[in-house]
Amino acid sequence: MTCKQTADLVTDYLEGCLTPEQRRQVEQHLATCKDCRTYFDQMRQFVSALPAAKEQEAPVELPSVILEAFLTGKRPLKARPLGLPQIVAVSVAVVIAVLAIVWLSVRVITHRGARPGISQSDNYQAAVLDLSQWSILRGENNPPHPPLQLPRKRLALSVLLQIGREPGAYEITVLRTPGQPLISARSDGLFEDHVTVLHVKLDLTVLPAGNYELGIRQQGWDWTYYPLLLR
Amino acid sequence: MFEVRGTGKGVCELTFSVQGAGLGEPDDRTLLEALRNRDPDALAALFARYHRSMVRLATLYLRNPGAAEEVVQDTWLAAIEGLPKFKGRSSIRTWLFRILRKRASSHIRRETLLATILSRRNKSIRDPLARRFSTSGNWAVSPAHNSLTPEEQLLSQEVSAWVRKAIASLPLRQREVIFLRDLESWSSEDVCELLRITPAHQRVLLHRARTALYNLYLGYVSASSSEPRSDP
Repeated sequence: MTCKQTADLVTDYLEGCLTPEQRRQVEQHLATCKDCRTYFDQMRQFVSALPAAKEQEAPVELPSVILEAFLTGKRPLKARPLGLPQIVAVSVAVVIAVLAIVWLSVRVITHRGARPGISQSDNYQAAVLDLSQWSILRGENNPPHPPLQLPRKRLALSVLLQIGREPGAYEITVLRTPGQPLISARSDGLFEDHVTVLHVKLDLTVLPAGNYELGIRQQGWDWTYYPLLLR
Repeated sequence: MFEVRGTGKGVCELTFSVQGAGLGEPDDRTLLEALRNRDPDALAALFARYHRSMVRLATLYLRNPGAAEEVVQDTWLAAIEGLPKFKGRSSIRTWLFRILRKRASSHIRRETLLATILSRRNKSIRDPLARRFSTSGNWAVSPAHNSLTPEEQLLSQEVSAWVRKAIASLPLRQREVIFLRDLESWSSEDVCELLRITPAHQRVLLHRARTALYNLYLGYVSASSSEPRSDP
């Protein structure tokens, strides 16, 4: 067996896949040839060092688009290269969107004018609860949000919903155990300065101080709960 | 588990097969059942286990990290969509990586790069060892001349990055085999199942890839003593 023939079998040798006859020949050659022994050693070392060349990226969090597709069973729409029909469709959509925005802004302005003011006469104190910057943080490493805090008073509460919440009919509730609302109210969420705002009157004097959950949902959607501390 | 198999011609297949999971991680069947019940924890576990490895493989196909990420995300979405049809006949990992390969190749086709890649890649030398031997089959230059300590050197980040680039320059099949076997530590059995090739074919590809890579590496190391370094 020549050195070249032996070297050609290095992988099969390292994999343990030689026939007994081949193996005997290779080992016989290695016993007498220092160069081939060196080469086999070098290859073995090289191969065993290769896993170290693996790129070590930090763990990635599960992207919400994948989680959403998993939970809803619906595949998100994907951008594809546009053909002529799509371009026409997109242009029509843009025109409609512009008209809708104009119509909506007119509507919001009218609503604002029509919104009933919060009267001070019936002993409700005005308060604002700003959830617009509230993000639902995922993962164990993120610190939880500190609970929202409200005084135990009669409140005329303006709730600024999270950015992205649509205007519409909303329910708001204060509870300790899921499914057992202690106080509930309804409000039409109106679009004000890019944020949907609910205006509700809540009598919090009837509840003892302590930790609660504030539940908010748009009709027909799921509840979102925020930790709430009543002082 | 160790498995020794005869393959007819007296050639033995020795594989060490441990499916991806470490201690305390759920096995495929448990995971699959949880996935079918739309358990987000099961998806998160699967994602943590395979996502990075998938991105690494996709990078090997596509080179452009942005495109690789996109293809892997596409793979996850396709896997979620195809979950009801997956019967569990292969491992979840093989199933995922098969989708990834399909997605990557259709992505490459879409970018009409496949033709150029194939024509360029196949020009590489078939027997990279040939030049190291005299016509009589003896070593032209003794391997002892290359006094290397590859283990220490490969640990350096620069060399690791170079190795990944060098692997990406190999022909497609060799690239896949050496990546899965030697970087991701897959068993030969799993690689054969994924690529649908015979064990003997897999060894030929692995041998060519290792030899080519090692030769490139020797060139790199000898060039690195006289800067600047050459790219693979």
